[in-house]
Amino acid sequence: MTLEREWMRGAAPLAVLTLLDRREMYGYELVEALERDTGGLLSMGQSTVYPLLYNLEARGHVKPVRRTAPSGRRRKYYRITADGRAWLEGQRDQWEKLVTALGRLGLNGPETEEALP
Amino acid sequence: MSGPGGRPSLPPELEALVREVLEASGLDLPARADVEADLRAHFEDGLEVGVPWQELQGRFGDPAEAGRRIARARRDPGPGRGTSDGRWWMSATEWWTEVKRSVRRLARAPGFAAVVVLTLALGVGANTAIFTVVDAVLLKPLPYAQPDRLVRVYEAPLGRQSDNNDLYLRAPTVAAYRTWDDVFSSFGALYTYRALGADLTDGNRPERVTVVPITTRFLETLGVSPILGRTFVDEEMLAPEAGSTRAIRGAGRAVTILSNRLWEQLFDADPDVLGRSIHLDDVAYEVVGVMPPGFRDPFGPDADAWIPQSLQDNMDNWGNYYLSGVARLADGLSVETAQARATALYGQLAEANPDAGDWGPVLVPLHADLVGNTRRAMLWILVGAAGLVLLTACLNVANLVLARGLGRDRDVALRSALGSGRARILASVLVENALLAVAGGAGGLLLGWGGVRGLLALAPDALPDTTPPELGTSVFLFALAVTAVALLAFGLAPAWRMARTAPADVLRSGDRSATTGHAARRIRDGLVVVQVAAALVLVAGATLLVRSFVAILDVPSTVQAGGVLSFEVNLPVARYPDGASREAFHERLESRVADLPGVDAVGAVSWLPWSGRYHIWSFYWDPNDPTASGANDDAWYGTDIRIFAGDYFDAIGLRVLRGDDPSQVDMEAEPVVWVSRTLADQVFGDVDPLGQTIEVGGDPRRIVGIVEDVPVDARGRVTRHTYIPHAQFADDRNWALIQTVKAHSDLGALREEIRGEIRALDADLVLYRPRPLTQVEGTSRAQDRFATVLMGSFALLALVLSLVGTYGVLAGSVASRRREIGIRMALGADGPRVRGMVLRYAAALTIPGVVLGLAGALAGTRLLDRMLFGVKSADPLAFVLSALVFLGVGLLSGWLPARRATRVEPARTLTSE
Repeated sequence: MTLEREWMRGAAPLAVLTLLDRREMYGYELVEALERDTGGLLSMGQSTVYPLLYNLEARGHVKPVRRTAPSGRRRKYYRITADGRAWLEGQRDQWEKLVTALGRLGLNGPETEEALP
Repeated sequence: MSGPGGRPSLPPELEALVREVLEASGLDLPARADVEADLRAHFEDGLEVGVPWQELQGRFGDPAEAGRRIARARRDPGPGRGTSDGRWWMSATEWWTEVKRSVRRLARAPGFAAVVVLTLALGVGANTAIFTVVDAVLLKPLPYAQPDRLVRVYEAPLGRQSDNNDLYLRAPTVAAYRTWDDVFSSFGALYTYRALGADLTDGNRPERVTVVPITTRFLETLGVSPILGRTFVDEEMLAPEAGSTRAIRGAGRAVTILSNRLWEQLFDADPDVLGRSIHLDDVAYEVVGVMPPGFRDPFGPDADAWIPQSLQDNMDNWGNYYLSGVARLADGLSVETAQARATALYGQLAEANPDAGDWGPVLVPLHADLVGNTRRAMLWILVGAAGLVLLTACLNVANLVLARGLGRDRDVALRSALGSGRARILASVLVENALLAVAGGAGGLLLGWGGVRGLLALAPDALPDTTPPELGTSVFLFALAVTAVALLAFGLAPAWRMARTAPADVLRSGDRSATTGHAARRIRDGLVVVQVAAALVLVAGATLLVRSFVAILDVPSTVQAGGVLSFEVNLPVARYPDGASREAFHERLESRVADLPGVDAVGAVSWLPWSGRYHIWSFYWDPNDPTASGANDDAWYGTDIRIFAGDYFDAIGLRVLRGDDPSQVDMEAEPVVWVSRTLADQVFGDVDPLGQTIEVGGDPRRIVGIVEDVPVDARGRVTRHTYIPHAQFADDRNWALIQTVKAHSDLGALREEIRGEIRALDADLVLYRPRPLTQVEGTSRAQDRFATVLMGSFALLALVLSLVGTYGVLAGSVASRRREIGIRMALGADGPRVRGMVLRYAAALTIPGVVLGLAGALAGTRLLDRMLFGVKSADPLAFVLSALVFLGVGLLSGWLPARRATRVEPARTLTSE
């Protein structure tokens, strides 16, 4: 099961940057990680990931870095930038506020159970 | 398997997938290569860890969709306010990309680009040309030291309306002015008669040059020093020693300062010229100085040489007004303060010298004096007219650009919806418009340059000479400024509007055509209305000027200019020392010329018609004093004196109204005069002038005839004229006479024959300034012609632009309303009804424009008042004509679209989408 498109549009850049915040990854690696670590919820085809990466690159949130892979090939890794981190922080903040607000309305997430006073 | 670059190639299905993505992206190198590398790497990574290619293919997604998304992502950085990472500004590379894109876009629409650039070029060009002239004449300071401190000094009667031309100064007052240190730090004067010349006999053949006698400190007052030698000293201003010949009346010692041009011509710019001599009217003048190149005497821009002016002879003469004065104000003094002080000092002078009369000094800033009020007004009006042309051009371009922009609304909306920053969209539109503006501006500069040369050719006499117009820095900057203004006018509005367009609205409307949107339509209509109004103002102004010029041409002339050749021959005092020798020469010349085939009449006069006032003297007539003693102070009147010889009246077709024809009068019997009609009416009133004795030029003379008036300018202005026969005047002074020969043969051939006759009489004499009298008449109209032609050209330009603009909007409207028209026709509307619809739209555009334009014209044409002749600025005919012209233009511009509208096939428009 995947999320609806509207949700994906907001979540996808956030997810990618969260992953890249941990460490730099190359394209294929990123796709696999999204699939695996989100239990398939945020799985996007490669047709979506690359445009997203280009977008983030153009906005200055990520930066490509070339490294030599163990196999000897040159690989393009993506690394988050300072701007990207700043944006990510802001997005996380938004995310938490969203969850809190929805929680107050009674929409409980799996971890947050806020009893109404 | 091996692929491009020696890398192991992918399975053919994945290769095909990669190709499909790249095709769909439509990217150019090098972006394409980048993306290809990324995709390949992605698949290779997958294959490397053992994922089957089928799975990779399946998990990829839609390649076409991927390609499009990749393209968008690489071109447009994504949603947000800025371009990339929230920035408002773009990097240099991003700007350059936009420039390249804009060039490509414009190249795909060459017709649009050409029309816009041409329109802008015309607008900018007209303004640049006018500005070049205005800059040289009005804005650039005079080429003298601290020119704003220079004033022209006049003498004018206090309170009483002067009969004389109050331009000139008297020698005693000049001497007084020189001592007024509280007012003037420096004062110079020169002998005022502009046409002063002398025959220079040093060159290959005798040549008439312009010589200006000046007092000391004239050149110093202007602040210009000779590049060689010196200016005159006081001793040289004294009258020459007794017995020596004085070629030019009033001249001092025989020294001269040459103009740079003459120095180059006669002496090949030899630096050792000082001490050498030139011969003016057979008198040797020693060269003591050479002026710098480009120096222009403000009162005699074409002066070839300057000689010292002696005031001695006239120091007691309070009746001879003959000097032009220029002064440099004392430090820190304003013109007003200087004027007040000068008036006070003059009062003291008048008290000490009762002969001075009730006169006073008048100070006018030199620049203003040289330009003249009429000319200044004319130039500023032309600037305004050029501005209106630019406005019309910009409105036209704005409309074109808006229409083009609206056509791209949908694409832009898509971009915006998918994340292109507002700044980026703004930038792309701005860049495109800026490119058009720059091309238009460059074209305008070129057109302007050509225009200036055309202007100068059109009006060599309409503009003052002191600073020649040139295409310099200030003009270039002006063109730049005008282009920038034009860009703002037509470029920003559409761009801003476009950036604000809510994408959803556009996408929802589903209409891809060029002129959708009510707001857009209203804006376009508004632009056309203003354009029509602006153009109408110009057309109304031009119509007024044309009517005025026609009125000038229609002024009935008392002079028959056709078939009359005029020329000058000057007799140097050295070889023609007295009246008898001069008169003898003229008689011989006249009889020889009269004998030439084709010649009808030969005469001569001291000053031609249409050449302004000249030789203004006073004459005395008191009906109670038949001896004309001059005792009655109120019996002095002003008149233009004309010395004439031979059959002058016949030669120019001037009628003798009453009294004797000159051929019937014995010139040796008694001193006689003829007077003009105006003089007879104004001075004598009911008394019959014939037989009356007046005193003029110191001699009593009897009036023996009354002649018709002669115009002194193009507008037929007449003044009081008094004609004295040369035979009775020659002894007195050596005045140059302008010969007038009436002939029915070719004037050019005649000129050469006359030259031969002169040479036969005296080989050292110069035939000077030969020109047909019609040319003299034409020159007098130069300023009016200049203004009329220019204004007419502007008006025509604006009219054409307005026609194009209105047509554009109407054509676009018809194109965009095809569906509506189709529906109407399907529902039964026939051709005339549909045409009527379009023409009503045309009227809805034109009529408000005409009304607005008429209001503007009523206000604006009042500025023309001073320039008009024979027609008022609120002339109804001009306004009605202009309104009709534009109503006609409006209908005409709607005609073609109306016809096209009726060609719409209802079935096709309804079924097409």
